[in-house]
Amino acid sequence: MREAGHFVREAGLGMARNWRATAAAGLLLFLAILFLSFAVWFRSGFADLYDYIEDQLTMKLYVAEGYETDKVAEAIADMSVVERADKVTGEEQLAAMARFFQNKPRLLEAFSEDGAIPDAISLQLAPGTDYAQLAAAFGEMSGIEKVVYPQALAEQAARWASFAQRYGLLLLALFTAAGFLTVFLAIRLALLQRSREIRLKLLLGANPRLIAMQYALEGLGMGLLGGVPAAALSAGGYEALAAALREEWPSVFAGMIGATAPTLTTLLAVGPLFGLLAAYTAVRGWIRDAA
Amino acid sequence: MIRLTGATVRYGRRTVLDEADFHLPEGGVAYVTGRSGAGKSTLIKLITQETSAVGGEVRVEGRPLGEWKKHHLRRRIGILFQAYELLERKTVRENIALAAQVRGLYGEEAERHMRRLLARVGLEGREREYPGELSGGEQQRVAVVRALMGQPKLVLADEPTGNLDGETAAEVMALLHELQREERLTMLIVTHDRELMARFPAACWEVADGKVRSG
Repeated sequence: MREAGHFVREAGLGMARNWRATAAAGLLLFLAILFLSFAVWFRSGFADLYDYIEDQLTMKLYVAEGYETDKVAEAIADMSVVERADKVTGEEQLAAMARFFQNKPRLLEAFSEDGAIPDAISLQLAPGTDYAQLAAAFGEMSGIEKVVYPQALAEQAARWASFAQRYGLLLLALFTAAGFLTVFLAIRLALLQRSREIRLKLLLGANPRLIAMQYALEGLGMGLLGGVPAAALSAGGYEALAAALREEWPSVFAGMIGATAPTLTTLLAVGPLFGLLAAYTAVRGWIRDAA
Repeated sequence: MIRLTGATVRYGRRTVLDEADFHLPEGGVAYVTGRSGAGKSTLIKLITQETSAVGGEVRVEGRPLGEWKKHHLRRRIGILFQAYELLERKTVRENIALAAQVRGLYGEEAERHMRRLLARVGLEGREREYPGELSGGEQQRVAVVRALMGQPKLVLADEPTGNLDGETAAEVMALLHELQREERLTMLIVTHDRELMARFPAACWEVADGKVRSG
């Protein structure tokens, strides 16, 4: 136990000796974990909103009296620009809207005045379809009473969300790889600088596992240095944003969940685990060869 | 203490030790001599498990090497190098403490042991100095103290006087022989200094053509 204590102290001294490499690795891990944390918070907090925006992107047709929605939907499904045409009942539409009127039941009731919302046909259109032109064409068809299609804002929001999802993942992967590589290189550099000392310790009878532990602890330290502030900052930032959004648009963001303890705990653990893993990868083979 | 029976060591295609036999009894002193590249240092590396035999058997304290955990075996061996191998950024005290700590020796016990040995080698009061501030002979004496921390019973010295002038080399060799008697050590000294070997007599083995012969 006292022997392990020696290597723990050596890990601390090693980090202090190589403080520049430690700080660089910590900073990159900070950025990686900050990015990852925001991605996780937003993914969990805005999932409902994203579903809503996606829902708004489908074109809806309301059938005129005297026509059967099922049959019109079947006919439209055969059109080349239509990928899917599904009947959506009034109850289903009301249920989808319900969460946006959680605290305003009267508004929801206003939607269902004079009975239920009429059934509609939800269309999924082929990519590249001109919504406005097609809506105009549907509007002139007999049997179609009303055409609802995405508004410019919803389309823009969906584009941003799609961009963030696609390139956000790429950025996350880049930051993660850079963080891992920096810790790996910082530890390899430390091993190289202290190779003579390590070889001497091994010849004097040091346990190679304890030497490996010393460097794994240095990686853990780098992970703590970068990961913990990043996770804490992201949780604080997300909480503040969620509170502001709930106050500004209560109808949309009332159900947005705050920073939860399990997610925060997981994010707090990611950085240190990441540092530990990168350091262990760097030290494993090296110590085996040196011993 | 150490017994090689038909030990063969190869580096690539080159056979350095070829079915070599060697024996050093407990409490004994032996010189191992031979030309450069003959395999003298390989003999030490074989015992410390820095290299391994492809054939034959090596026993330390009666146990085959394979039965020893490498670091457990090394803790029982004090090792000396030609170039002292002291860490320049550490003081005399820190260099010695390094060996004590990796061998599980701490606190008052380590302190007492260190003071006794430093006084014995004539370096009392020099604990705070750095290796660069010491002469070659003094550095090797610090290395002797480091080797003896943890009270090993076996000392392997790889040309311990190789970097020293004649008189200093003789002083260090005399010190090693004195410590061997006082601490009842088993000591294997690799050297090619025949003058010193004659001045401090002990069993002599010669490594040549892959064989270790009593000389």
